[in-house]
Amino acid sequence: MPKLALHFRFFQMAVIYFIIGGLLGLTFSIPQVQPFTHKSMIASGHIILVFFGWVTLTIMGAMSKMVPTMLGKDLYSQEWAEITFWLMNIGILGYAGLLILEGIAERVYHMLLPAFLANVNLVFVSFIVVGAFSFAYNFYKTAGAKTAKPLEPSIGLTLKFYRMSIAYLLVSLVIAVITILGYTENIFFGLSFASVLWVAPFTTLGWMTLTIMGAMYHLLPMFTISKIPSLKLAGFQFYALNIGIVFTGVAGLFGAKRIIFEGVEVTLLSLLQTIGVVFAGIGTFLFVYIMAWTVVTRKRKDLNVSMRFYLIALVYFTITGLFGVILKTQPGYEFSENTNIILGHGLLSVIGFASLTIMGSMYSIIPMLAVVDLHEKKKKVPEVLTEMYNEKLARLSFWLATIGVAGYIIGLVGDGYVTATLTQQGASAAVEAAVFPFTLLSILFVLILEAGVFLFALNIQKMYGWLKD
Amino acid sequence: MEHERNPKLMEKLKDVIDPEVGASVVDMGLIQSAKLDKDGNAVVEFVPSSPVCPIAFYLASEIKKKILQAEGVHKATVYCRGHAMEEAINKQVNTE
Repeated sequence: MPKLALHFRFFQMAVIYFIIGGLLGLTFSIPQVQPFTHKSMIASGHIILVFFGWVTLTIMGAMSKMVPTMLGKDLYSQEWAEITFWLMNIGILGYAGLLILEGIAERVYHMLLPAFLANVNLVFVSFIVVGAFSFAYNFYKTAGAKTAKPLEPSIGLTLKFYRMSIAYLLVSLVIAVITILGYTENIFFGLSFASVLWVAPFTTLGWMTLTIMGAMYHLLPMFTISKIPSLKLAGFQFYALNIGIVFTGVAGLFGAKRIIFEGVEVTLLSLLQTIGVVFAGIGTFLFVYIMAWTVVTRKRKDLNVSMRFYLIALVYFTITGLFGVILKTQPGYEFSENTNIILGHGLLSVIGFASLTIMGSMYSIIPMLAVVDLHEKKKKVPEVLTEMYNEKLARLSFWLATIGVAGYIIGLVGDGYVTATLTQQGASAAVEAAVFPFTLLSILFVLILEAGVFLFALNIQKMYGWLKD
Repeated sequence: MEHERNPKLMEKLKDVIDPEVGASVVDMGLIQSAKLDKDGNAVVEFVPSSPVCPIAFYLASEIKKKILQAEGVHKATVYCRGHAMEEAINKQVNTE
């Protein structure tokens, strides 16, 4: 069987990482497992699998095919893209694998792995970093502001988002490398490599969210046969969010995590954080408005499975945005500190928004790109794209994922709320019994979510069957 | 400006289905013009649903195939408009 095209291989690996990362995440919900995983290297390995394996590889695969199409040209170098694919995969598998191994050794067997493995770890991190830089090089050579002139203003808008999001990925990696080398203690708020990826606005908002927004600006109008209300408004949304990302990112790295509100002193950094949060909020809600307007004024009346995923993802994005603002206030921070509320907020963004959007996109992008391949090879092309997968299964995966995310997050936030309330009342001893129903809720719904992810993965695999000889 | 849409060609184009939507390119309003001269030369212009629609290549090819099946058509030329890769699409479909 001939090798699948590179973008399909990126997607295939991403889905595999999603399943492995998801299964690991599932075990984290079990109370008996938590002592082994909470704030351990195992959790860091899980983050690497989800953030780099699932989210980043999907983005890289999609960009390597879609960006040249947008510009009516070829990718600068297919070889570079191939190198990126291997560097990223070796780095992700090696780094996440070692972290998990380290975590198991430390938490389960109370032993430390040999010291030389720290250097091996660094080698795998280097693979990820070099892979990301090679991807960025290939991208900017293809779609850099000086080299690419889009025919359509809407394409220019999407490219603007992509150019910035890749810059944020590189900034995040530079910070992460400085951190892993141990130079950040004196510079930034103490962060580990994985937590830089997790908490810094450069990664979650800058790389992940900005890329998804850029993609949605061209995919959503395409799927709905519609247009965004105003390119100027979208341009303003872009700048607002970027101000938000840079301000909150810089302030956060230097330790100013809260906005000026009840009990927070006015300093340059807290001011920076406050302005950043206001602009990030404007950018977030303006995006939701633009997308909602585009859907409402659409010409295509039915909603395909991709659109359903997008709409739910936008709802979750709005909720997590509101959550984010509340958690940036001193009372919100104090209340939620060391509880699962913060985890709920983070997961709502990564699973509820990013993952559901990616799942929805794959249901349309993979068949569309497969049609291009099939047509080029003069093979049978499906009359409708839904022929390429099981539509009922797709809808079921959508509902399972949607309900799973909602129940899982409610469980986590409920757990956090009860924990915080009882702790404030000085009844810490009662916490374990009181949060038990929420723990059960989380486990039940994370299982439902995982079932949705499995069905999604099966359906995606079915699509590749069309590309076989 | 009112574009010419030859009824015979438009009828034939109803058989070209956009696989993404599952509707015909005519019903989706993608056909900008469909002309047929007395020598049997057909010229069709279409605008894909998005300037980056990856299946525009396929649609252009299908449109040409169907037009050539219409009665009295000897030669068919298809132009894709408003697509990021329209030059490549038009070159490919009209030299096939």
